[in-house]
Amino acid sequence: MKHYRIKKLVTPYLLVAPAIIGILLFCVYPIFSLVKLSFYDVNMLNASKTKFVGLTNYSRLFAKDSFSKSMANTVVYSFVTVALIMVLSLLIAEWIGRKKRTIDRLSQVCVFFPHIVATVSISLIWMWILEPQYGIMNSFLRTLGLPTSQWLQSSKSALGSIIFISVWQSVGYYTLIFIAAIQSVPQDIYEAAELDHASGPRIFFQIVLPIISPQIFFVLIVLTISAFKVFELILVMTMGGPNNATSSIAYLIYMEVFTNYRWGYGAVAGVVLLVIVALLSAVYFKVLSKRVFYQ
Amino acid sequence: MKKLLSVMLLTAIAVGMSFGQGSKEAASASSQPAAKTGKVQIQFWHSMGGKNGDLITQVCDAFNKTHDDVEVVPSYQGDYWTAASKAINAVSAGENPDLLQMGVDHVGVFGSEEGVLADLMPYMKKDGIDPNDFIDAFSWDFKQNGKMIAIPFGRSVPVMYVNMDIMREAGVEVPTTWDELRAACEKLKKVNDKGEVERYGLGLIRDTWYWYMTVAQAGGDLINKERTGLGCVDNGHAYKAWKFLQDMKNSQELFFAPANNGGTVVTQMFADGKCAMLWNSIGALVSTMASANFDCQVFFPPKGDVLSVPTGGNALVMLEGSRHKQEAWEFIDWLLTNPNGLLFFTQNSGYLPITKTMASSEQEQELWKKLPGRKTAYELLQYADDRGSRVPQGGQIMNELYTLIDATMYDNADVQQQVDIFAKSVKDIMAGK
Repeated sequence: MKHYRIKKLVTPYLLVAPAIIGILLFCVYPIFSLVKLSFYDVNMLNASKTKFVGLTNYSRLFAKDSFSKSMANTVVYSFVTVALIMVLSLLIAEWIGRKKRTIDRLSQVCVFFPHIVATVSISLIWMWILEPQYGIMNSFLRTLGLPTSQWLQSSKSALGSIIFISVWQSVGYYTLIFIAAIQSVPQDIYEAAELDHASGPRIFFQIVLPIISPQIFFVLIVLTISAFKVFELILVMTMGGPNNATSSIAYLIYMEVFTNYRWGYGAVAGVVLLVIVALLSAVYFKVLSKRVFYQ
Repeated sequence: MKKLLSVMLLTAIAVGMSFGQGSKEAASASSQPAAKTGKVQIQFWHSMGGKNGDLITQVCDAFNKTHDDVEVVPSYQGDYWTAASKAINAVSAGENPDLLQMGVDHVGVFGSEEGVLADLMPYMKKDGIDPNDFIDAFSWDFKQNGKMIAIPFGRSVPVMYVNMDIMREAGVEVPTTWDELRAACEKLKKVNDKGEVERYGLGLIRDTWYWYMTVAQAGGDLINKERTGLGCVDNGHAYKAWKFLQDMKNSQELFFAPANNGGTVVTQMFADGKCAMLWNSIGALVSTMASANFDCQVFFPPKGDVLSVPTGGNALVMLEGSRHKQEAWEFIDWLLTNPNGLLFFTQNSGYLPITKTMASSEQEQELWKKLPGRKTAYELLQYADDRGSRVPQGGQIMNELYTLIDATMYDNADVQQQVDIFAKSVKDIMAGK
């Protein structure tokens, strides 16, 4: 009997142990290691020259123009892409998600398609489309008599170009999530609203949105975290340029570690990114969770 | 049933964790004698992809066929920066390769730490390799305090490729000075009725190399002799050089390539006759000649106040942590002395010969007759000088220089203002900040 009680007590912990060990090894330990590294001037070729420098890495990196530019770019990129993707995904989902016609299903496939293509492939293709000299975008604009743009080759338009491509790639995935959410709204609620002569927009804003608020909340958090980590598009398309116009925090980490060999600075940028994302998530949970209605 | 499932799950996880541990051992890069062949394996990390990667494999195969006791295993590690990062991590973990091909700018990074790169001088003395046989422009920075920490491997200089058909059609002589270059580009530029440029005088790739070259040609050293900051600001050399390029770009005489894939864009423009002249590496000689369906010739880049060119490319180092240095040296010795080694590689890749012996060899002299541009580039080496720009902090300085290049060439920012910002950044970098 005692043996049975011990087994019943221990077995659940044994079963979750692998997952917990994985989280501790690959999430918790690296975070502690990252924070520790940010206080050191690291010399990977000669470990004896690695020395504790306190907050020196922080003060030096924060004073750099490249850091402030990367921060600003990341914040602008994140808020604009999150806002655009949320609005577009919701609108498209409402448009093609309610009815199950063939054209709606086909539209869902087309909208989702960019998401399944590798980001590197998308980056390379769009880089050529937006090439000012030879690209088809400018050729198309010239044909229509419209002004052309330098797109990725001007600091005025480069970040906007990256945002456009990112939104184009991502909107399909979140649209599908919202379509599933909208299709789970009970039909009798729509019928009741129609009986009360409620207009389409009123139904959407006062019935549909509150009912799918858990999914909106989930997408908002996931999107924000993903936006703050933007890296691949920038690495392939612009390498942070021109003139740091598209450099993000994640790209700065990459440059500091793999090009400048300043691991301490890279760790500082990593800590900053971690704190920002954690704070934002906390704010979302504190402020927005009250507006989430679970059925 | 639940008990059985629990046991199966725990067993699967335990097996999975054991397998993961085994993979770490298999991934070790340190040389181990191959159990089956009995040969000592030398791990050779390189950064040559595509055709040059195939050449490396051919060279290693040629060595392996003629050596029963040593096997060189080449392994592509990405570009110079990626390979260097991997190598740094490998050195730190004590699992480094035996031989490493690295960008020339990285030799200083690795060489600045004692005990990372092996001294090749004792091996060279033992086997009668004369260190003075290496071309000085390619090897001066590999010789430190009587030691030799690297050998040149794939080395190059920037040259000017010229479409002679366009030059003859426009009645323009090949420029030899900056003034002549501007005048030539003004004549060669072709603009249509819509104001679109159909042909530029000169095509330029976005690369710090050309910025080092123009500063040196304006008479200045990029980094001052004290190694505390820029040596080209107060004397106006940086401003003169980079204003010259910016003015040419703004006058549409020069096409400045995009940041990404710029090399592909501008070399295609040259091949299509949309640029009459192109500054590019001699390493691109074979591909440029192959894609040019016109009379394409190679010339010295035009001279500023002085004629000076930087060098580029890569070097081969032996890591001190190698457990088979003698065998690794055997491969290096073979590379330097066997025609199927570096001579074969340089001749087929477009890189220049790295020793005077290679340059005067029958094979190289024959190749110069077929590709006169190669001879031009070799003659240019007398003007090669990197002493003003090659420092261990080169990577960090390069990133700041790209900011200046982008600001002045894409955003048309004020050159002096950007030079001052760049100067401050370099000062901080040299001070270790």
